[in-house]
Amino acid sequence: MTLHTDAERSRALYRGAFAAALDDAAFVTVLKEADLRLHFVLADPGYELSLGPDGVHDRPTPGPALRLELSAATLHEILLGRLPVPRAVVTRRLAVKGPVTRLRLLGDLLPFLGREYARLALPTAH
Amino acid sequence: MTTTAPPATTPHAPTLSDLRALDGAAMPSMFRLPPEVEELRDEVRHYAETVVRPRVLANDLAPADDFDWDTIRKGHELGLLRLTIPKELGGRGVGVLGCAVAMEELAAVCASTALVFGASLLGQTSVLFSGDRQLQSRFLPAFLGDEPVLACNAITEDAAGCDLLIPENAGHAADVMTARRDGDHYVLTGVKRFITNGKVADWAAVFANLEGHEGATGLTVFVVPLDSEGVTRGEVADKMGYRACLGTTLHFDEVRVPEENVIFGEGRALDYLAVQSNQARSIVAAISTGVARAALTIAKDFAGERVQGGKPLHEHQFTARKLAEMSAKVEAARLLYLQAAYQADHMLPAPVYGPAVAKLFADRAAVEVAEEAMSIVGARGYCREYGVEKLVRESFGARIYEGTPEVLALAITGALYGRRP
Ligand SMILES: Cc1cc2nc3c(=O)[nH]c(=O)nc-3n(C[C@H](O)[C@H](O)[C@H](O)COP(=O)(O)OP(=O)(O)OC[C@H]3O[C@@H](n4cnc5c(N)ncnc54)[C@H](O)[C@@H]3O)c2cc1C
Repeated sequence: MTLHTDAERSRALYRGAFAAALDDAAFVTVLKEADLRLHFVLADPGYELSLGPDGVHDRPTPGPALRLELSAATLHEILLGRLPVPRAVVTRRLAVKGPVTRLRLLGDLLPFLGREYARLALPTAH
Repeated sequence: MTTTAPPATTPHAPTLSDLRALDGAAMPSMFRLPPEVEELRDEVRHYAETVVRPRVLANDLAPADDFDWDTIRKGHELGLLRLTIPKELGGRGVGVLGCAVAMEELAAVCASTALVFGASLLGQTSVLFSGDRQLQSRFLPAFLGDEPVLACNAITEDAAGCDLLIPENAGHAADVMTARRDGDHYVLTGVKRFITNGKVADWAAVFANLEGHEGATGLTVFVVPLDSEGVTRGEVADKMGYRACLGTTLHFDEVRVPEENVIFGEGRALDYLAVQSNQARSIVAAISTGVARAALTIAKDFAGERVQGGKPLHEHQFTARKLAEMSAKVEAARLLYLQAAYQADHMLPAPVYGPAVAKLFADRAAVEVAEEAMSIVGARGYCREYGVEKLVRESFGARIYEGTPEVLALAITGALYGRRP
């Protein structure tokens, strides 16, 4: 997975996809209604991204958040719809911390992120 | 004065986590339950005291295959069969903590009734947790209607018991129900044993091994409507306790299940079970806490009134010591399950260690506290009307389902030595 071996390249790709999703008013509405930030901890290759209605940040920002611990490669599969979130959890490729009873919200949020990510990543994917 | 009539039961013995019990003293507590969980606890306590309690003895004495739908219907009206279904789908949207607290309240009156609800929720968990909206729209709305509908979780078999719960032993599991692929269907053949609600449930989460995989290494979860052709509901186990819930044999003879009914994908059942168990164990620990609390309550009331040697029993030092130890066990069991349930609501997968420790401790506390209650109440405790003998019988049940002490020990040491997450 050459897209995500380099932390800076990987970060730029996800950052770009998340920022593009934030241009979509419908996504921002869902995110605001959820009143929940998504904090991605990508242990491999090693960086973090925090996504909320106010933008994408490199560090956690205050407020209720679902902390998603996974590798950048796993996030790639999830966003492209190749790996359902529950399967990622049961196979221990994804650990979620925070109010996990609200995990269902990911089902509403991920398609927006996935669409933008596919647009940016697939033309260059290996 | 000698006490002969059963004591008027106080609803529950004072608990650290129930501030109202402490004469209004504003004690700080690590565990202030969220207001919605406190509200649920109070509703369930009321249901348990007013609906379940009057029928406990009759249900316990009824033939093994009698099922008290009326009690369950009233619990359904309260939302107990849709506790964990998200609010946006019409459920109560309660997490593991809320479920566990509700189960303690039910089990403090009747563990067996608690398990009817608990087993149904466990069956639903697979569909809920799958995140598969198509499966959810097919199998969850039934729980939102006017009439109660139950689910169940079918794992245990004749030859394979704990082997289906200990991931490392999956290869040793013998004669496991098979799932043979046939086009866009699977064909299930085998027998499940001791399935709580099996007699009365609409559908089951069924664990079957893919043909060609050794032991249970291809274990897969299927959602199976129990009116499917080839399913037969067999005998109900004549259990020594937990008699209000029906542990049933389910026969599957070439049952065709569409591939859409597979949850998490082929061969993922052991992974799922590891995740599910960590949630379920906190809830079963709460059931055991409820049993222990009920035994403590009866013993406390009896020892408060029963006079021997010129003073109430609780003033005799031996009895005082027993009551104190029993109280400590109930409190410790509750704190452990609350902590484990809280973790399960904030971590996915829930960690192995906390829930296994909570269940191991609470299950043993239930057995020990029930036994001490029996000794305090004496001959009257040995008779049915006090309910102590039922608590003794039921205290052993939770040591068998959702992980025996030995299974829990392997989980705990697995975590201690880093073999399990
Ligand atoms: C009230 C009640 C409700 C139940 N409800 C359900 C239900 O809804 N669905 C369902 O599928 N099942 C249900 N069960 C069945 C229950 O889950 C099984 O009984 C349990 O998993 C143990 O299996 P077993 O009885 O076959 O015991 P076995 O697996 O034969 O174990 C017998 C003894 O050997 C010990 N042992 C086994 N393996 C090991 C090992 N590797 N190391 C050390 N010791 C070991 C066990 O701890 C136990 O003490 C229920 C049981 C009860 C009592």
